[in-house]
Amino acid sequence: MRLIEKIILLLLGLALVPLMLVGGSLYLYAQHNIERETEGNLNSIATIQEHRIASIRAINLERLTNFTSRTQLKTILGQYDQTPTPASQVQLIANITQAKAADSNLSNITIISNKGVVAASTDPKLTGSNLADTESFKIGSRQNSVQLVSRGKGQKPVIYLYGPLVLNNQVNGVAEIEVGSDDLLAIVHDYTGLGKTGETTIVQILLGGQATYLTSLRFDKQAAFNRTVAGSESAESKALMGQTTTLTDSKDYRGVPVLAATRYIKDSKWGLVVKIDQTEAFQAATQLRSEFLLLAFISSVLVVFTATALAQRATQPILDIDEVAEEVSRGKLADRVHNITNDELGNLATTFNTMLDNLEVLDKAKSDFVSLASHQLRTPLTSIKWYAESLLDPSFKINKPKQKHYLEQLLASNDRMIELVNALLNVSRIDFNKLPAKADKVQLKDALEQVISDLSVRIREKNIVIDTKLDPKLGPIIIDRSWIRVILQDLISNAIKYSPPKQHVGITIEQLPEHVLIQVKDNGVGIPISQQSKIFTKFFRADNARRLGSDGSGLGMYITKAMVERAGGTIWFESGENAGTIFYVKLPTQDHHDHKRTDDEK
Amino acid sequence: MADKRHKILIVEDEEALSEILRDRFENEGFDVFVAKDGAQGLLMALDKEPDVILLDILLPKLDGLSMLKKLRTYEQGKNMRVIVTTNINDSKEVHEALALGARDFLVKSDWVLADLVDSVRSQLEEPYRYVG
Repeated sequence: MRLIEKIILLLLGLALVPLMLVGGSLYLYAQHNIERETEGNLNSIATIQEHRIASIRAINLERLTNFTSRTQLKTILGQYDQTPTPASQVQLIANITQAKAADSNLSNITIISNKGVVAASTDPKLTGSNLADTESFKIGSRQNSVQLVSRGKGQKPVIYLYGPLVLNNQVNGVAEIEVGSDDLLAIVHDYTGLGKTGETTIVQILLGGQATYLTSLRFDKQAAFNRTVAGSESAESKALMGQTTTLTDSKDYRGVPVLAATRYIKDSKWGLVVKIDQTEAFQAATQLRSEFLLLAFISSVLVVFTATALAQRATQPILDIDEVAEEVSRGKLADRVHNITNDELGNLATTFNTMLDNLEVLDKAKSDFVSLASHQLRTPLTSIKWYAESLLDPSFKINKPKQKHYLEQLLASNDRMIELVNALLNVSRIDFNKLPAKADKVQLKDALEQVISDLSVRIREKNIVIDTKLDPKLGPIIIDRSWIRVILQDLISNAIKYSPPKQHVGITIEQLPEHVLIQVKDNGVGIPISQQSKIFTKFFRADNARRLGSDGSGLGMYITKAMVERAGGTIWFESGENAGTIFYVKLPTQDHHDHKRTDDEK
Repeated sequence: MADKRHKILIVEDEEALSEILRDRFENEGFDVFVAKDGAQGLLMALDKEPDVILLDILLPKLDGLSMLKKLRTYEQGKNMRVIVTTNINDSKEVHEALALGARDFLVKSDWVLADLVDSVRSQLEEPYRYVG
């Protein structure tokens, strides 16, 4: 995955996770609260409806009781029971007609004789009908009863009141009073507090044994005495089982999830359910959820946009550096990072550029060195090859002294090779910090004499005069014997090399309290001031030194400085072009080399 | 013209090398002149008008290629045979030398002297003209 994608995902996560957590918990909290609140509401409404329906029933029972307490009516009925005469029937009809007129709520009154035959009715059609086998007669003979009864499909149901007409502890007949159901239906169809989907339903197990809705429903106007209750898990079934409860995971007759409260009205054997659709109840929570989802979506879009912009700003400098780094890995060192930002990446770019500058210098120095070193190595090798070949060539005749001279040339070339290889080895040891050091007790006088003797051929060739001036108090110093030899040899051979013939080279060694100071002075070409700062740089040779001769590896001063410093000393010089040079080397008399490190090096 | 003595100018700062070159070419019947740097080499080339110059590249004072460039500006130097001998084999310098009409470019350590002498002798027998 790319860095930019990681940053975008991270920011997206940072923005969205808390939002979703807060949103989710708020939603769950809201839903829970709403559920509890709705349950409470439904319960209250169910209780109210229960009471209202009970009061309707009570009113009707009172009506029935008032009616069945008519002594005159019961007396006439008693006579009619014994001898049904048209006269008593007329009296009965007169009586009930008067009763009906007295109470406008009563729509029909029917008196059934104790034999089950209609003795009188405000509905003339019924007179004479035998109702002995009807449920209403059977119930009505025993007790007062209020029933909601269907009038047939499409008709409003009506309330029937049945009650025994008892006189002197004897049931003379049954009164059947038909009352309008408007009051009851008004209560059932009162949706106050139930929103757009809530309602009250009343169910009863009818004669066929089916639990059936008694009133038209909010979403099924034809339901009364027609639609049956589906399933034993429905709220209506629970109500009929006598449970007073609230249901949160129930489905209504439409199959829609609802919250419901149930009641059982024992006297009527009615199940009462007050319910509301969950979607409506939870609408607030659902709205909250959609608002949160919208917010999350908008946030995501914003986050992705800003994160992309941010990540691009953050990664562009890296890509820039990467591009240059790739060039470098292909060996091209000339390219640089150009857009330097004002931050850590900018610092990296600057450091990277500086590194490349150094690398380029180093690379040039290296390739210079390789061509220089190969030239330097090939020169003595060529010399060895040509002299050896000439000595062996039978067609090339030379005398004995000449042969000896050729062998001397061979040896000199070989020595040059060894010197050069040693110098290269020392450079590599210095560069990898693996220059071994011994703590030798060195008499500088002896070391100096040895070096001058080694250089005697060159001194003689150029007729150089060496003036040495040693401090009489000069004592031994502690330093690696090979180092002091390299240092002296480098300084003195340079003084000889860059001096015109027949000049003096002065060597002074002075004893200081804890140091010795070595001076090597020549009257040679000197070092141009502009190049003095580079004189100790690896592979560096001053322009005038180059003009003077092609031999010289540019390694001598580098090695000398490294050895002087590792021995705890310092090196400096005074020079000017064509003004000669004095090199100063100050070395401690005691061992200052860090031997702990040397042990590691070994 | 086998009886005519050829003149050879050796421009070489390494004394050990110039010495053995001188000995071998003299032994082969050449008139040998040796110059230690480019400036001296240019003067001797114009003065002695050698038949062939063995020219080193890394030289004090005036390097070999600069000397060759200057040589080509003189009338006598225009068609002089020059064999560049060096111990660096940088292709840039090879091209430059050949563009300046160097007859050959040879790496010293690759050659034995007997072959070098033969090569110079055979080149002297071919006609040569530098069209700069």
